[in-house]
Amino acid sequence: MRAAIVVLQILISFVLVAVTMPALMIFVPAAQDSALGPGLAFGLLVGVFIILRVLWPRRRTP
Amino acid sequence: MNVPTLMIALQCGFAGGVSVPASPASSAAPTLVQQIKDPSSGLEVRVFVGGKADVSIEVGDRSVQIQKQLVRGAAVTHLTTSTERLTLTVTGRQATLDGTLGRVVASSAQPGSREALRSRLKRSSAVNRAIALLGRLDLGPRSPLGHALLATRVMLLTETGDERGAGEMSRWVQNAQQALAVTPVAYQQMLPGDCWNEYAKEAIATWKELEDCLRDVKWYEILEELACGTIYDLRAIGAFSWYLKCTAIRS
Repeated sequence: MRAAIVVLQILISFVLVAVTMPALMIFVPAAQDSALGPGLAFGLLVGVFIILRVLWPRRRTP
Repeated sequence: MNVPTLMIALQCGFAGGVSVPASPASSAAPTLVQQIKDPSSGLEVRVFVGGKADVSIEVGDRSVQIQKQLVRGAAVTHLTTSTERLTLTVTGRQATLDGTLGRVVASSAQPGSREALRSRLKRSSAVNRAIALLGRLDLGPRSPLGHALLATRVMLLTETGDERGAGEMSRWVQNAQQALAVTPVAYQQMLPGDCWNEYAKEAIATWKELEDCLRDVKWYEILEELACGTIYDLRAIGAFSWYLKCTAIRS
């Protein structure tokens, strides 16, 4: 169950970053540069994944 | 106008009327469909379609003009020099030479006719010049036009009894096979920077498409907005997937 949740979180992070990157490239043109862009994308991916992990609702133990 | 004059006028008119329908078909001007310059000799090769021949290929220089035609299944070769004018017509059954060297019809049914044609062609300066000119052409192993002209040279060599023609055709086939074998089929190698540049282009195009899509959509047109957003999402996800795959470590 925990593994499935992690996979789901990775997928959600991926989708969020994928749909954010085009907008980011338009509003932050430096992100188009191949020196900065990939790092930014992967950083964003990791950041979103961490945020999801932290904010993911947990089952309360009785 | 008296009666004899009227009759003559009618006969002329009738003759003209009969001859007119036949003239457009026979005198339809051939259309130039291809014109290329041979890289090795610098000679211009022209291909015509229509007219009296199905296909006509023309090439020449100051010494000789060659016109190869396909006319209803027959290969007709016209050779013209300042002193000679020959037409060699080859069909499945016979070869006919006509022109300034006289007329010779050669077929397997007529013993000795092949030798007569061969000796006549050997003496011809137009044939020798044509063979030399066609030997200077090199349109490459992938050119159908080059193959047609080589076939003409081989045909002339064979008809004059020269055995080099078969070897030349064999070499052409070998070159064509090698040219096909070395065709690059591998994927283009891309560096990670190239992957990002390609992804950036696609991502920007995706955003521009979203902007264009939403430009004329009113605030209450929810379905249109949803469609634009869905297209954008799918395209953006696809582009980012492609980028990850492009930069993936491969064995």
